[in-house]
Amino acid sequence: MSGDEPGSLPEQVRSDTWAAVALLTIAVVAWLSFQTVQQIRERSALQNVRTAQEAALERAQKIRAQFDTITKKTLELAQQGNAGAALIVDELARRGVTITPSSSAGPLPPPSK
Amino acid sequence: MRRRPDFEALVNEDSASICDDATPRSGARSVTSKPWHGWVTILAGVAIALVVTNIGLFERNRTLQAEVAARTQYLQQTAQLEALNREIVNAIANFAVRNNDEALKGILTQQGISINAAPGQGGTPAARPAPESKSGR
Repeated sequence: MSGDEPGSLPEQVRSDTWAAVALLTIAVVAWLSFQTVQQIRERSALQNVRTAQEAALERAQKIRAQFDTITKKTLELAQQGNAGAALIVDELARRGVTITPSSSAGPLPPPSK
Repeated sequence: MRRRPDFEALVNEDSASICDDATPRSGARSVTSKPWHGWVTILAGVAIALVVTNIGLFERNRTLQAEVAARTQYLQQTAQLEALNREIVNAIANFAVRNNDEALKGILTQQGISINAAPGQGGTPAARPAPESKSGR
């Protein structure tokens, strides 16, 4: 028998080792498959959330653009001496909102892909 | 020298049991060539492929998560800004009606916001988006 040759493992031991390797491989593949399915599900859920945000994002950008325009024009009027506009700018400053002509309402979110 | 037939049969049987697991009797045989050893090797290859796929998916998901988080933050900030925007619009409408300030009215009109002030009433005028505009508040 080959297992009886000097320097080689007995056949039974070799077979047991292979069985252990096989079981381990099956377990690893099963675990990795589960992980892959979970990652795919998570990706799908995230993409759904991102798609659902699109409409809200578009509306938010419009609101910010409107806010920017209104505040800048109000500041311009205030600088030109309009009393009402000056009052509004003062009130905003009292609340901690400072209007600077070159500023925007905030950074845009990452673009859609 | 001639072997006895029963002894030869025994030798042949022993040889067959040794080569049972092995490839054809070519001499360079291996005891690791059982059919399921091939399957284990294939499964190991699948495991490696799954590891690579998982790494890719994990990275993509992380990017997507960061993007969704940034957008959520942007939307939350906009919600706060929207309330402030409404107050500013109402304040401008108030001043515009009270002082009959055309310049202030112009700011709102340019944004598609119309001022509805009931004549003869001293109440707060309501600033509403013009029918043709959907962006005003």
